Amino acid sequence: MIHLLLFLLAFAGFMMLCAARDRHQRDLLGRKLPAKTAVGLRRTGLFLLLLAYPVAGVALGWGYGAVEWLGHLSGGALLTVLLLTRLSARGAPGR
Amino acid sequence: MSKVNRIWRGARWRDIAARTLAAVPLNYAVTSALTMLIARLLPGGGAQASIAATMLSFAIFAGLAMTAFAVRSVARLWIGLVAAGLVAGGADWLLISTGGRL
Amino acid sequence: MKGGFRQSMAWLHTWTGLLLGWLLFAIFVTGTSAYFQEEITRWMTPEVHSVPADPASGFVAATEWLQREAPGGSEWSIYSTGKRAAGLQLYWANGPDAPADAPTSARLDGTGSEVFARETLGGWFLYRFHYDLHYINWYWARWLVGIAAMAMLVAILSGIVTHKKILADFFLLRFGKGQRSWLDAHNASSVLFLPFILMITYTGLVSLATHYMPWGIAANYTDEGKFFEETAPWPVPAEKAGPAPLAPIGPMVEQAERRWGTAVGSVRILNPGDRSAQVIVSSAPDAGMSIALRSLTFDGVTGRPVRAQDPSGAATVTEDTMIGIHAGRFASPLLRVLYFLSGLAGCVMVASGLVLWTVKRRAKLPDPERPHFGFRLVEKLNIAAIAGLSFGIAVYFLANRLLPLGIAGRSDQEIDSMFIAWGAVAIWAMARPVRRAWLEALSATALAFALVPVVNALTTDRSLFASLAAGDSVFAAFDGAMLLIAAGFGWAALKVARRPSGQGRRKTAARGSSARGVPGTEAV
Repeated sequence: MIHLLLFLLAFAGFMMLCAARDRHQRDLLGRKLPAKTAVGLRRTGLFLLLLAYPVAGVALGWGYGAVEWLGHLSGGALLTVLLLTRLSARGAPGR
Repeated sequence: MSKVNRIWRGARWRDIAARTLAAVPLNYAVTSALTMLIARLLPGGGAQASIAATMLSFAIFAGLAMTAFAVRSVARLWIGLVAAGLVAGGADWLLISTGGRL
Repeated sequence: MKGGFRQSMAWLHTWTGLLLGWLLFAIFVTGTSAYFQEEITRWMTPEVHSVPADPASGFVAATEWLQREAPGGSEWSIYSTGKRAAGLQLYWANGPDAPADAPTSARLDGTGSEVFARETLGGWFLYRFHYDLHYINWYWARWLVGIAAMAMLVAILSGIVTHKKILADFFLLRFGKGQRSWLDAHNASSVLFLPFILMITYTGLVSLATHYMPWGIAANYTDEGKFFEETAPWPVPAEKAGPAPLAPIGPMVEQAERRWGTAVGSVRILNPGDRSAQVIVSSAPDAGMSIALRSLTFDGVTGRPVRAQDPSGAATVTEDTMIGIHAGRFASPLLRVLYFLSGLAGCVMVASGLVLWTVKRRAKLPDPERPHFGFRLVEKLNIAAIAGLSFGIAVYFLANRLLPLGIAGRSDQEIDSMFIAWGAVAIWAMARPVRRAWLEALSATALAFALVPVVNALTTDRSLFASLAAGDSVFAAFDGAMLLIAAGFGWAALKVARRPSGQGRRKTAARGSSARGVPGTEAV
């Protein structure tokens, strides 16, 4: 369960970081977000990524948790990029 | 002519050779001297100091290797590395000959 | 160098990556397989059925076995194969009365009865290859591997400074968009898995640190042996002093486990059955992140503890933790899978980087139909290194099932089969046009991996279906992994087959890509 939670935190964090950037909002949401929302998204995304470490540390031990945290960060980032590839291919062919 | 042929001719070729020599063999000598110096200077007993210095040595080597290809003047690169090696090596010799951990 | 910092770093990234890339690929592939070393060994010894056993009772049973089979020896070592294999590996030194060709090692299952399996080095060979290579002296092999690892470190660092922008906004990465896909694969695998790739490279160097950089020790010790005696003491048997019965091992193992709170990994008995007997109980290497072992030495006659050895010192702990994180023995099954996937990303990074070198240059060649020698050599070596090694590993697994069981030097023949297959692909690649060679080598590799579960089903009673029915996760997962890898190579072969071969098209595509403004396409 904890592993799933860590992965979801990492994935959600990267998705928010991504949605906070202008050039991805069209692919992701189909419209542009107000600047204030974007800043909020970026902060929340970063917070979730960082939050995953103490969660991993408390549940799995600080050393082991660190290794697993980094592993999930890579996994979450990979899924984000794969999803973006899908979305941008659908949204704007031959971009 | 192809780009590759141009690369492997003349000044560019000599430049690369001089930098590669500085980045690998000379770098190894300088890194070794610096590693010895760190191993002599770190506190906490001979074994701990030796291990810490050895672990650091790879960062030093990588940093110097990149520097060798980043700096503009090959002459200054060689002078700098040789000087650093001589200073560190001299300090090593002094520290070891005055005794201590050995 | 000419053209500023970024250009020179891009140049450094390209050339260190290319020159050592082929060796790095082999190191990455075999090293990645080592995360499942025990599981590969179990698959390669299908005669062994895993017996769940209590490790403490295993050590007792192993001692009884040694008392029976190797009496009078000066030293017995019993290693638990760890939580993933539940067996015991025994080594001993025979006494003076034993014949010169008497055995000195044996494998027991968890209950202490000897295991008879086909002669193979299993996953251990692939693990060992990733730093000692094969057919060449290990001393020089380690230097080669170290040079490759250092080139890798420099390539990573120069890649980071060249392409800072990708790190800042890696959401711009895309997969499989036409001609750019090699660059995409290279960028995505390296950027997304950067923590792992940096970690594995640096900790790899640290694992063999004193081999590459003995001068840190030389600064403080006139004799290297003294350093190792101080940091990793290895007691040897004392002079024998007359017979005395060996105290029971069970209570010693239990006492050590209570004291540490972790499992015992090995028991060494010096001069068993003698008054000078000593029993050294050490903790399991997969119990924690650090590979540093704690040990407790007992008097072999009275059974009382006489000495405790615990790793201490910040530098020692750092070093042992770095090596522990590199090897990942402590990892749970899930983290092990993450390790394995990260390792695969490393393989993809090296392989795509190598191919990228040719893709980028092909469009700029004066006559793309007739490339110069250096270019052709790189193209062929890429096929030999990437497809050749992969094909060789599949053949290694096939040879394990197909070579007759009783032949002499069987484990060596398995290994030879791997290199013969690897060499055959290399020769094939030299002889054929590049594109056909890629297609054929990738197809052959896909076929060979797909054959592994088939041959396994035909030659053993542990086929994929039997394993699934029996709930044997190791065998089922191994066969499943072979099919997945086969599918991966099949997909790659299909991609090559479908790729447009027109040179003109590639040229415009290459130009188009650098105009897209995605960082990473320029300056190489």
